[in-house]
Amino acid sequence: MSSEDGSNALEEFKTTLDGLTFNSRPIITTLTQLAEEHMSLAQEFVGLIENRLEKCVPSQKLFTFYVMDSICKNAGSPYTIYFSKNLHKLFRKTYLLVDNQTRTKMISMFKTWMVPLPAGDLMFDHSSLNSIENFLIKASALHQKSATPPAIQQHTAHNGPAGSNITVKSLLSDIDKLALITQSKLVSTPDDAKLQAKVAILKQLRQELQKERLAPEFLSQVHQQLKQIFAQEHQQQQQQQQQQQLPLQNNSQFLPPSSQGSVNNDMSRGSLQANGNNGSMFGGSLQFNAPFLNQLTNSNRLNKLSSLVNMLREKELLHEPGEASITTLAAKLEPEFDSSKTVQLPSYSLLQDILGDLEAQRQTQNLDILNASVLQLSQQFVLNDNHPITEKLVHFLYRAKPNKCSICGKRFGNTLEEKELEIQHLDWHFRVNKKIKGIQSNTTTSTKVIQSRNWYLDENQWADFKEEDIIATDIDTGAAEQQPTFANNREDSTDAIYTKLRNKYIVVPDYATDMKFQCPICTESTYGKYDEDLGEWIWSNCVQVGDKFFHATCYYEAAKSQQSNTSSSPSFQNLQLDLGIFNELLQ
Amino acid sequence: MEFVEFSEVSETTKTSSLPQGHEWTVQVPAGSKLTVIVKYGIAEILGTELANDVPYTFQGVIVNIYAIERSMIEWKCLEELEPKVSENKSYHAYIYNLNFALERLRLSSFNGPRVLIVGNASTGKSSLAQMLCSYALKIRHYQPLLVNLNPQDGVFSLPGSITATPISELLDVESSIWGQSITTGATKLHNKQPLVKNYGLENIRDNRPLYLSTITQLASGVQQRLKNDPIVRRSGVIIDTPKLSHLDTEDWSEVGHMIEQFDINAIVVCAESDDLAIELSEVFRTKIGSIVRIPPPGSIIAIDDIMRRALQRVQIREYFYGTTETVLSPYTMGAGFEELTVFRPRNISEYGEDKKDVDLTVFDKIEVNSSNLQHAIIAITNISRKESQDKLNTASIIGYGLITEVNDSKKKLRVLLPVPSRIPDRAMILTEYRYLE
Ligand SMILES: [Zn+2]
Ligand SMILES: [Zn+2]
Repeated sequence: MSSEDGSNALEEFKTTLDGLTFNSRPIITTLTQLAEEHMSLAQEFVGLIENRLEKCVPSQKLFTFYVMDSICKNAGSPYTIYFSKNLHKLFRKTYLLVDNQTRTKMISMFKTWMVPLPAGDLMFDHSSLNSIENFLIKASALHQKSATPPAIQQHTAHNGPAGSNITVKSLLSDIDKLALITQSKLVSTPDDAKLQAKVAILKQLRQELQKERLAPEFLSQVHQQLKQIFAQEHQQQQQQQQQQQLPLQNNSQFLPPSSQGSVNNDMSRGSLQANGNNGSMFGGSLQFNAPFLNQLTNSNRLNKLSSLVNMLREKELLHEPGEASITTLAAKLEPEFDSSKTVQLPSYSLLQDILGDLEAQRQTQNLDILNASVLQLSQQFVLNDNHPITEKLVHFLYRAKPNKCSICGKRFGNTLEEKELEIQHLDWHFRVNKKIKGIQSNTTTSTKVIQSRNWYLDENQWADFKEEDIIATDIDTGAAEQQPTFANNREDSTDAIYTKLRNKYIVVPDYATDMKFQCPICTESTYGKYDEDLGEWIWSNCVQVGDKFFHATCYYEAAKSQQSNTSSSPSFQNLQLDLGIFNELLQ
Repeated sequence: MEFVEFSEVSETTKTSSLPQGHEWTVQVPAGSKLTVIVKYGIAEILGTELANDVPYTFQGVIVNIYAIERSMIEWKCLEELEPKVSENKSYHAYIYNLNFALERLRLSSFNGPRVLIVGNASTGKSSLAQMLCSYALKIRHYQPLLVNLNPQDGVFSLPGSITATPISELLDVESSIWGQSITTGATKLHNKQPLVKNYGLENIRDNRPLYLSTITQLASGVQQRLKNDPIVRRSGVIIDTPKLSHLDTEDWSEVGHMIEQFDINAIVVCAESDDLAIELSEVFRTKIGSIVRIPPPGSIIAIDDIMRRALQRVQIREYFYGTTETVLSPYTMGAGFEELTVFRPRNISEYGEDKKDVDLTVFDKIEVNSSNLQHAIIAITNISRKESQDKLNTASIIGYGLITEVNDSKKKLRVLLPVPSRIPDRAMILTEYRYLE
């Protein structure tokens, strides 16, 4: 076989392999034949396949494994020997990246490798296979925590321990009511993004409930959450109505607070406690608890069954699978296929954000720190790990200001003043960002902005300093220019000038073979450095005057002292300083 | 059901899901870089909430991420790290209680609380100071004054200094010195403006009189500022102190001095048991309104001498060169020996029998040469070289320089300065800190 044949075969193999973007038997067969015909290229083929396993998108990795599998089963050694080397690593890596359906297929494939060949031995190196098996056993143990066989799932759906009479139908009607309230609010404030999102979520939740068969416990948690939101909506609405009615009908009788309960009853069909936790400042659940939300996470969609499984396990109703082993793993994964086909719920974080914000507002309504005399700097109060008032007040630090800056994490509230601050804040980020990234052009060069630390203020300057000079958002990105430097030196070390000077650079000329120049003023040598942005070697802080190179800063100082005719140091006197360049430096 | 998930996405990027109330703690070795992204949830670092989907990088520091709500973080580091996840709800509940009690004091007076935090090593003093400042920013636009009296730590400055800094905007969680003092350009977060005084020695026991007088100097600036600045005054003062083993715990001379100089009205004791709080309340009964003890958090990573030194190097580096986010360009300046006037604080270990007669607050002028100055950090004062040297005792520090090269035969040296300027015509004070680039 000529080497040309070889490289042709290699090329063909590679092109064909690249075409394996779907599960194609013909392609796999072609590749297997090529591998059989060109045993001398085995190492190269193995390299190509391993490379593809590393680089291709997760959804295509399985097909590449199939190629490997097919080649090994048909062509055998030396392919099996070469593949054994990295098999464990590649298998493990791939397994972690792919979805559960693919994982099951990988496990099925793996099971075939554990079947001895006619000669009695296994196809791949034993240690390699052992480590894959160990890995899979560990992985399956993880799955066991959340997965449960379908038979049990069905069983519990009928005889759920929750045993409540909450039905999908009752929840749907709750959702409809809530949607109605939210939508009517949206009419008055049509631009409210939170409300819009809420409507969308309710809609999605509705669809989801209709689609999926859900555990009673899950339903009851949805129900609890809806109840809370409902109570809050109702309270807000009532307050609004009262405010509106107040000036008009002074004598009209307000509903007593307890009547809020009737609304709850109305929506919740008896099985609920009637105390909506909107009344007392300290009552009710204080922390927004998210089990319901946990159940909606995409990454953990099986979690919604895990608590149920635990309960069953406690009552010994659950058949515990024996020692975790490879042969049972595939079965355990199967239930996940069905759930993975269902429509995705909104992301966990979105739900957590919206419901959390609502909760925080509910908790912090009418809360007054000044009047809360329990807030004492005393041992008794401080060493209290679940004081109800603190659990409410904590919301002030977080979600009571629901608008979180996506750049720095700072929070802003919903009042007009806070909204204004938020706009200014974002504007500030924008300007700062532009300045950080921005290109500053001057007469000779355009360079990235270089900055340095300023001198600290002395005691008197500091005592008179106002933070407003730093944090005022209408000031152009901080205090560079207004920043006082230490008094006596202010004149000759204005930082802006020096920054400008140091930004001057000269591209190292070709004839400078030693890559350095010696500044005639300070006699220091400066070496060139590579500037990534320019793609050139440069001398920074450098200016060319005639055929001489100076430090821009040295030149500036020398020229300045000559110009002002003060005592110039002896070394400057024999220099012909070009004041035109001096002026240019300052531009 | 809460359990910590840990799953590997690839060889370098890992995700950790943090249940509510759990803290993720890791020490990033000097020289390696950790990047963390909060994928969802509310997570904070010492009271500063992290933005979501924004990468934060950490180098050579200890990182504590606390999950206010169930959060998912994604992190990567080339080095193998071993993060610890621990439940820490109670500790944080105490801090919240403390914060809201302080908040109420701010609301009810024009003079905010003045809090001194004391405790042994690794009891969470600095973290507590940082959290109290960060929380104070959140409800109203307060500007609490953060005072660091631990000269082995650098807060907006270098180790060797003690500082006072109004915290008027978010602290920089990525920074080893809590954020940047004023720079010449734009920075991602707002700069801070510290008042800096120099102690310069490594150990307080080597010159207690100088330490006390440096505190007096810092406090006089602070009192002046509080007089001028109603917002800072109302926001109050939070003071972090050196570990107790560095202080005189027989006569409590330094603690007493701090209480007096800063008009302290509340002490927070970071300790496992009540003993210290009881002793302090006996000693300072007449002066202090409240003494509250906070037990140390379970998640603490004790800092040993080696880590302390590594951290100090990181801080020195950051002072001159900034962070990956805010790159700073220091400036190397050549100078003749005759252009520098350098003094050195006295060190009690150098005196024998006559210890008692020596005024330790006096500075000695030293010769400029390589054996004195090579690789040394020098504090640049605001006092002119020509002025009388007893003014040094009241000097403010305008910045620090690093002597990178000393050539005794040419009588020339090179100084790394944070600011692009000539060598300031100021008296300088040699510190005990050295840094080899
Ligand atoms: Zn921001
Ligand atoms: Zn020069």
